[in-house]
Amino acid sequence: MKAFLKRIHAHSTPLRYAAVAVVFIVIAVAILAPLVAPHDPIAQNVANKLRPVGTPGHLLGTDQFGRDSLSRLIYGARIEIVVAVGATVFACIFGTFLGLMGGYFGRLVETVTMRLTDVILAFPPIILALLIVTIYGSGVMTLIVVMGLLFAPNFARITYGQVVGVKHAEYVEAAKAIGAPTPRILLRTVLPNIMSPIAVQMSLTLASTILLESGLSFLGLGVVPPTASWGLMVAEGQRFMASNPDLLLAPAIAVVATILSFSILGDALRDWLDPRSRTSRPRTAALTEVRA
Amino acid sequence: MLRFIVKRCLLGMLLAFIVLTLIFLSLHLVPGDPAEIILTGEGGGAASPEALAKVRAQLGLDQSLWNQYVNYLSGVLSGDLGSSFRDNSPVTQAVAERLPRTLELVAVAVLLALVVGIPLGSLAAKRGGVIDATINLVTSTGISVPVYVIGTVLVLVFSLKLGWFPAGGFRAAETDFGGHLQRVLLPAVALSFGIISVVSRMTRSAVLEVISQDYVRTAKAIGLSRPVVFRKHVLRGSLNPVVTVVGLQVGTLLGSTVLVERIFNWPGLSGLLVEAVLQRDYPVVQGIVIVISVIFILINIIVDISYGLLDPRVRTS
Repeated sequence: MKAFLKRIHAHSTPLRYAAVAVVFIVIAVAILAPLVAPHDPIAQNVANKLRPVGTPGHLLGTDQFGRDSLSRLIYGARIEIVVAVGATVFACIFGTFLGLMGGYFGRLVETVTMRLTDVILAFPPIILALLIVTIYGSGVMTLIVVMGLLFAPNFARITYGQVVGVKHAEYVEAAKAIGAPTPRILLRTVLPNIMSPIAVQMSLTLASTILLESGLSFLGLGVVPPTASWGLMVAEGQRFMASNPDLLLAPAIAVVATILSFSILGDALRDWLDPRSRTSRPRTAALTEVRA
Repeated sequence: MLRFIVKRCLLGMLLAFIVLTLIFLSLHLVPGDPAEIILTGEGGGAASPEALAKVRAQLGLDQSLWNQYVNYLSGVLSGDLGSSFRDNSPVTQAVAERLPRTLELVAVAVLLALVVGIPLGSLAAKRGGVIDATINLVTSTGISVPVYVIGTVLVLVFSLKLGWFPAGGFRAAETDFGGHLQRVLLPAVALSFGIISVVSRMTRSAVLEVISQDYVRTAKAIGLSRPVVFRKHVLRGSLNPVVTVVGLQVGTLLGSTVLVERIFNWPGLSGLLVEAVLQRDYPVVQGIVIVISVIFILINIIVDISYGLLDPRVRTS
C-alpha cells in the first residue's frame, strides 16, 4: 500500500490531483443529492422562472419552469453516475467474460467471442443506440443495457490480449498442475493478474458512457424528462441561450469537467497500476495460488 | 497484396451480412407483437386495431419470419429500403438526397483534422516542454468535450453574440455557394474538435517513436537538413497510425453528425434519423442504420487496405 501511494505521488501532476478531486466531488454529490440539493429538482414555480445566477435562494438561477438549476445539476450528477456506473459495470462483466473465455480456451470459443465483438464494433455506437431506442423506447434501463453492450468489446479485447499473454505463465501452469478447477484458475489466478488494464478501461468507459448518455439525452432520446440530466439541461438551455446563457453553460461545464476528469484518471491509473515501474512487488498472488 | 485485398473485402461482406441480419432481428426477436411495440413503445398504452393492421401490412409482419427475412434482404440488395410510415415516401430516395450532405460535413471535418491536427502533433513532439504540455491539455479537453456542447457554444458565440455566421440551416451549393459555405463551416468545425485532438495526439506519439529510430539518425548523419529529415523520414514513417486513427474516427464522426445536424438544422441523413426515431418511423430508422453501418464497414476495409499501401513493410510481409 505504501509503495502504491509512493507510485501515485511519483506519477502525479496537479492536473491529476484535480481530476481525482472532481471525480470524488461528482460521486459524493451524486450519492448525497437529497442532502445537498437546496430544492426539489422537478418542483416548478412558473412565477419565479428564468432567474439569473446569484438569485437569493437559487445560486445558479432557475430555468423556464422556475426549477432550481443548482438542484437540477446535483440530481443530474446522480443520473449520470447511475447510468455510467451501471453501463460500465455491465460492459466490464460481459466484456471481461468474453475475453477470458476467448483468450483462455482459444479455438472455436475464441472465434465466437472475438467475432461477436467485431459485430458490435461494426456499428457507430450512437447509431446502434438509436436503433435500440426506437424499438424499446428511451429510459435509464435501456441506456444501461445498450451502452453496456456497446462498450463490452473494449473490455473483451483488452482481457483477451492479457489472457493470451499470461495463460502459459508458470503460476497458471502451477495452479493447473495442483488440479485447481478451471473457473477457479480464471477468477483467482488469471483475473487478479490482469486487473490493472481493466481498471484503466473502466475509468475511460465511465467517461465514454457519460459522453454518449448526455448526447442521447440532449437529443431527447436518453433520460426521460422531467428527470434532470446534464445533456437534457444543455438542450433545454439552448432555447434560452441568448437571454440566459448560464442555463446552458452550467450543465455544459459539469459534463465537460466530469468526462475530462474520468479520462485523466484513466491515464493516471495506467501509470499508477503499471507493474513494470512498481518498485517492490512480491508475487503474493502467485504464491497464495500455489498454496491453495 | 491482391490476396490481402480480396480477403479483406470478403470478410467485410460477411460482416455486412451479419449486421443486416442483426438489424432485421432487432425488431423481430423482441417478445410480443412488433407492430404494437413500434406504435406504443415497450410499456406504452394501446394502439388502435386499424393502426396495428396498417403497420403489420407495411412491414409484411403477416408473413412467415423466413419470408420476411428473404424479402428484406432482397430489398436491401436491390436498393429498396422500404417506405416511411409517416408519408409513405421511399426511404432510398431520402437517403440519396440527404447522404451527400452528411458526408460533406464529415469530409470537411476530416480535412480540418489533417490540416490542423498533424502540424499540432508534430509541434508538440518536436518542441516538448511547455508547448507540449499546453497542446496536451488542449487536446485532452478537445477529446472530452461533447460535440453538442461545442456546437451550442459555437452557435452562442459566433451566431448570437458576434453574428458572423447564421445559426444554422442549409443552402444548396448550386444556387447559393457563399451561403452554403457559411452554413457548412460551423457544424464542420464543431464536428472536427474531437478528431483534431485525436489526430494531434496520434501524430505526437508516432513522431516521438519514429524520431529515435536508426534510419532517422542515419539521415541526419549523412547531412540532410532538419526539415527534410522531418518531412521525408520522420513524418512519412509516422503517418500510418494517423491514417488508421482517422479511418476509425470517421465512424465516430458519422455518429456525431446525429448531434451536429440537430443543432445546426442541417438537413442531412443523421438529422432525418433523429426525426424518425422521435416519431418511431421504424422503416426510416432501419434504412438509415443499414446505410450508415455499411458505410462504416466500407471505411474500415479502406483503412486496412491503405495501411498496406502506405507502409511497404506491411505490403511485403
